[in-house]
Amino acid sequence: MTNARKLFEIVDDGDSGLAGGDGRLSERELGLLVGALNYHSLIQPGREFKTVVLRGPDGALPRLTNASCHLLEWDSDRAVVCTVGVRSSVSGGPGGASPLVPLVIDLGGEGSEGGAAFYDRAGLKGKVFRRARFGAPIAFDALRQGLTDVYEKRVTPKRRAHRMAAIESTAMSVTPSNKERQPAILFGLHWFEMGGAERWALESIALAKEAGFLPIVVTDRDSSHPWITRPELDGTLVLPLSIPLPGNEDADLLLALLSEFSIRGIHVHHNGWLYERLAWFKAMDHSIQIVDSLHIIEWRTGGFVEVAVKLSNTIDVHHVISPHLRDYLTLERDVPKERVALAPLYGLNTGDNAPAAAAPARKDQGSPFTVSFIGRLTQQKRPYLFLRYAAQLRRSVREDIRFIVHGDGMLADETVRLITRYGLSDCLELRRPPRSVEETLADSDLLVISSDNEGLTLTTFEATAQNVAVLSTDVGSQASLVSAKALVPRQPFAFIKHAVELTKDIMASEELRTRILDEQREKIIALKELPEARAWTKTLYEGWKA
Amino acid sequence: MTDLVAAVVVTYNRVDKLGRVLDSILAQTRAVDQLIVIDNASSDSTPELLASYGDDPRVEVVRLETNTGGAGGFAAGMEKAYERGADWVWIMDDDCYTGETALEKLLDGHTAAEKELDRKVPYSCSLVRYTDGSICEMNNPGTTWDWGRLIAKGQNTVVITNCSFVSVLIPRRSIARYGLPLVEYFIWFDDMEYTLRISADGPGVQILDSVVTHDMPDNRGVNFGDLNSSNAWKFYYGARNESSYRWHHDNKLDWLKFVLGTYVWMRRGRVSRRLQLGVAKRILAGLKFNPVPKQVRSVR
Repeated sequence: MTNARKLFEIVDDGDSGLAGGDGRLSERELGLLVGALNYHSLIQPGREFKTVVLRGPDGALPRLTNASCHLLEWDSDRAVVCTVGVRSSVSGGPGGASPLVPLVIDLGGEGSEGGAAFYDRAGLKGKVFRRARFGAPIAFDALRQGLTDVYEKRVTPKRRAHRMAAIESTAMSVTPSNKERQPAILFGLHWFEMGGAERWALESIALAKEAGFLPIVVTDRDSSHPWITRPELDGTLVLPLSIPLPGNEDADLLLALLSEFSIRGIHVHHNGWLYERLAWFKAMDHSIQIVDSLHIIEWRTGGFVEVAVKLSNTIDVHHVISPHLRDYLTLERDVPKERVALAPLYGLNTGDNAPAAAAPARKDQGSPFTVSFIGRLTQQKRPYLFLRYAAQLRRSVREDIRFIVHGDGMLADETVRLITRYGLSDCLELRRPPRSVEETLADSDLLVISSDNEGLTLTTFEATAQNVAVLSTDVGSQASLVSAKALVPRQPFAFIKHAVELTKDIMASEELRTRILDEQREKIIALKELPEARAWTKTLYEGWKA
Repeated sequence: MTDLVAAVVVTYNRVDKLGRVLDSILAQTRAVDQLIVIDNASSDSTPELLASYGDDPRVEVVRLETNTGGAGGFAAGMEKAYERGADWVWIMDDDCYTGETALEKLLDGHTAAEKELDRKVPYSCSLVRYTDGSICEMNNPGTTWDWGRLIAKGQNTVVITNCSFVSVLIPRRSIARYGLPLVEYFIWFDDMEYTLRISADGPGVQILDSVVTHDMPDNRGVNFGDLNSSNAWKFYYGARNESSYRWHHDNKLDWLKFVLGTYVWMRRGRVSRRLQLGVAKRILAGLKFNPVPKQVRSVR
């Protein structure tokens, strides 16, 4: 039974489990249904909804708030699971209109998450694209990284949108009486899925609750939202939007949020829909404080950082997690320094990860040198590049060497295939969650990060705490954590060449490995002198109470 | 939060003057937060002198394995300062004695110039005097057509096109956007190239109230008429570097003017044919020589 805030009364549970007890819907599906009914209750206050609840096949995306909710028909592969009746408890009535509204809520299927990869395209083009991508992953990546360089230097800077003008109006509120209600913070997230940004978003939602706020959490990306059952969302108002919203419902929703709740602040994590509406909130009520959390620069598209820069004049503070992002905003994009707050994230729910005082020698001199890859098996992390590097390294050293790939994800099948193709089956161990990362690090001498983009990698904190040297691509803010000696180029062929050479040097010199580790430790200590994200956010929210 | 200022001094075998230079930096009315000394592999007693500054937490000595020239030394120091989180990097040679208010005036003048010009200023430099109080012939910046714009508004500041690396204050923004001086230049024209490069969005300024003294053996500017066999190596770098800059980053007409000017200076100075030929070879080498600036990383 979901513990999220409900803006409706249950008239007829319909055996769904909505009213508690066993029902036809899983916890995740109940979370989606509550979110959808909250949305409709806000849009049509006081109405009673007769809701047909559908379930789709695995991989089908939910349709919770879009136009399909008002069409009384559905695809043949959707099954009707139950029919529930609820009445909106939001003030305001239907007037002369019929109080009963029919709705169709499609909860989709299991496993519809992760969005689409760049190679997931329809038709012949997609077929050719996938053949090239999976047939020659390294060569394809080399072309892709080359294209990234072109975009970074020549295309993206020319496509930058004009910065939105600052809002001169200082109107305080359209409905001052709402200040009497429970103060709320509006959160914008991509989706409820596993990811660093999402983990931080959920932590900040928990901090808002601790500070006495009602978190209102809006998502704008289609997903089966596996994390909608997370305890951080208990007591919050969850609105998982299926975009586009029909007709004028965008406006209805914004007005309802503003009139029903005392919104004191907005915290955007990754949510394009909410970003675009920040100016409206600020224009309606200048006292609403707006902050966004930025993690990573997307060189090909600009990503959320580009959106944040465009809307910077409507945002009170940009919270950034790395010196790289701070410098990008303040030095490259001229966002005023006083509106950028650097508060890094270290150790999301994983303890302190304090680096050890001094590096001991290798864990077990008798065992083979062990090189690990830890992370999701996704395009961004490039496990295929790690495997190619591992194959090259193995060929070029005489002594025994062992590799561990620890992770799971969309490229799991490709990873298994490449381990065989590169002849690594006898020296590479594939580990999957829930096996602990700590165990893998305890077995490792060197952690290799082959990602094509990163913010600040949590695994580097963890590795340093366990005296594991880190070799990484020179991307994002890795220079803030990883020794300058151990940063290698992002381009795949250059990566393999430099990473293999450096690994050989490290294998030959324990002194070099120790120096690298010492520099990691020094950098982490320096980074920890900065305000930490949780403490900074807590103070921020406390300030929003006034 | 107060801005962090890092001073960078590049030194090579000049132990007799270095101590006075460092003391003058550490005694500024607006104290520096860091003083990074790049020892370009000095073979005299420079390391011993620098060791005596070990008690001052602001001083960090970086000893390079080889002499990388002024260009390599300034690039290494500026990179270190940037990575240490400096908001401003104040660079100078090892024979530059800073007036006690030099930094304070640079910071104030820079801020005032930005306010008046309503744009970011890429760098500001001091007025450089010779030891006898006269102007230092070697360190006169080039001025813009509207050099008196700020003077007209009551500021004691000149708008300039370029300057030498003798007391130059560079904001972090310029380094982030345009990278470091070209290490490959080794010596000569590295300062001119850098100050021109970082002025892409507008020229820099010279703050006349900020004064330093350049303790050179002779108060002379340099021109190719002074070329002789003992100093030829330095002029060869200059010929190659300026040729490279004019050809690749300026315009071909300016390159031609540079070539003709060099020839005229050498003729006037009665430079030997052999050395003239050497300069001509370096000018031609500059056509193929076009190094790419190293970009900096944000660490803190």
